[in-house]
Amino acid sequence: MVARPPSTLRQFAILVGLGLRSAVQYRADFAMTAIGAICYEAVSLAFVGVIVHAFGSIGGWSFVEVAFVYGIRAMGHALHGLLSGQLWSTDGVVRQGEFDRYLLRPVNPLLQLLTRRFVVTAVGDLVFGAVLLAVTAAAAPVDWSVGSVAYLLAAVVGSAFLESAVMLLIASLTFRLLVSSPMLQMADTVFVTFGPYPLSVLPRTVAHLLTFALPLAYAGFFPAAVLLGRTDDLFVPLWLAVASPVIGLLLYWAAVRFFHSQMRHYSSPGH
Amino acid sequence: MITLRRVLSQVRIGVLTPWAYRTSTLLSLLVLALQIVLYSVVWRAIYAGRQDPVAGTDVHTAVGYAVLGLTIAAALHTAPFWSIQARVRDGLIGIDLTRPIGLLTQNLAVQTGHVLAALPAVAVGLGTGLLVGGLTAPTSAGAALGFAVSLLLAFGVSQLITLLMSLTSFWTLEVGGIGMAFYVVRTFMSGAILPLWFMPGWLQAIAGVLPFQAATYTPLAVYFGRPPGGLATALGVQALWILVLAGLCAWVWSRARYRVVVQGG
Repeated sequence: MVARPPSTLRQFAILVGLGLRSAVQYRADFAMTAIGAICYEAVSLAFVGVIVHAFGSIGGWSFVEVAFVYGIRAMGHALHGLLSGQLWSTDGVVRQGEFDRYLLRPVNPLLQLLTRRFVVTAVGDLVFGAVLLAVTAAAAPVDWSVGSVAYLLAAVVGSAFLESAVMLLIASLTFRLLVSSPMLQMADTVFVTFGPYPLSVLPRTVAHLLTFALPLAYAGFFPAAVLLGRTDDLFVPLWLAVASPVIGLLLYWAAVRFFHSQMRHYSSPGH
Repeated sequence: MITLRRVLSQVRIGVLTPWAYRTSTLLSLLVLALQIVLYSVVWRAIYAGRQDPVAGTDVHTAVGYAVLGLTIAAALHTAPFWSIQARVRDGLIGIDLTRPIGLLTQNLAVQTGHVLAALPAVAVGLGTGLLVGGLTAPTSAGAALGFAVSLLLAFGVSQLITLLMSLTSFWTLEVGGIGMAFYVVRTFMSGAILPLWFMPGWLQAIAGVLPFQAATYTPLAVYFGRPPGGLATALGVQALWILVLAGLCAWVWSRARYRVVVQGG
């Protein structure tokens, strides 16, 4: 009997585990980076918290409702970081030819890129995201049932895949353009700035851009509106908002395909 | 005279370095413009349908504050880890120590160069502000004058905070986390984006005892006619922070110089 290679998910787990083991060798650095990440997230939360507190509500959404949007986004962002944090190093990997090595090894190159180092900040983000999601979900005016909890979990995973899809699509351009970090940075700025708010308060054009061009809406606002029963505030058909988790997965699948098609344009800088 | 020339040579290095890494410098300008556009959209959306000012602030002031705050922060708040940390890690700090001007003077000069190199941010910031209709005039001629003085003091406070932070690299070589936390705490507590007057009392109290507000919030508050504790007090607090931070830097450096380990050659 021929041994079959482990599944992609298993490979990912093994490689992440390896990265984790090497990252915890530098114990102080590991702890400080994780704590730094928590600080970072806490300050971002405080920023939005101060605004919503001062205003009482935003576009008819109360403090706890806005916090719930934030909770979904925070946990989704944390999982996204664990999966895709290394995309920020795509520029260097391609330009300095580290990608040569990925092509020679018997593991999918994208998988190798994603797991080249363990994303230590994701540990802090995960702790922060999990606590925040639990607290805000408990506080949110939602009648929790098995179904709605399952939808919430799906929404969080979908949120992670959605953000990862956007970042992976952009990072894939590196093979042709040799640079993607400015665009990653811009997309990240948009996600961070608009992410926490009920997007229904934005001008319609902006809200539609955040639905169809840079699809942030599926990563927090839509599933939150569905769970909170605030479907009047949706600016798209209800089914589209409900389908947010699926859209995250579909976009990620498309992004993976795109990465592989762009990968063919890689030209080694030579060594 | 010779000292001045030596210091100016360091300032020159500080100006040239960021523009040697042109892509990342241009990127920071692009992100600044984007942030100004985004915040003007967010503030207007949050204020939509509201006639009354919130915390004494109407939508024009909120947008105008964000434009000016982001612009000032982009020019003044240079990264602390470019200078000392990298040089400690690579062992170049040994060369710095043999130079004929003190390490603190050297670094303040280099940082001043970084600020000068970041001045295009002012044009980008104010230009973008103009495009989104987010420029607001100072409340009075007196406020404009006070703003100019306060901005000068804010420059001093900001550079000393950066210097103090980079001096910690003598103890903590490899901690990206501290840098990240420092960056966000500074942005938040300095009131660079969000005026401190929006904060609940207890948070204002915390921000009030930290030096960060003297590096951005004070000049902005003066500009918008709300100097914390009156103009004289506001400027006095800034001057006091300059003295305290300068003292702290000197003290930390006096301890650090016995810890210097020059790595490699």
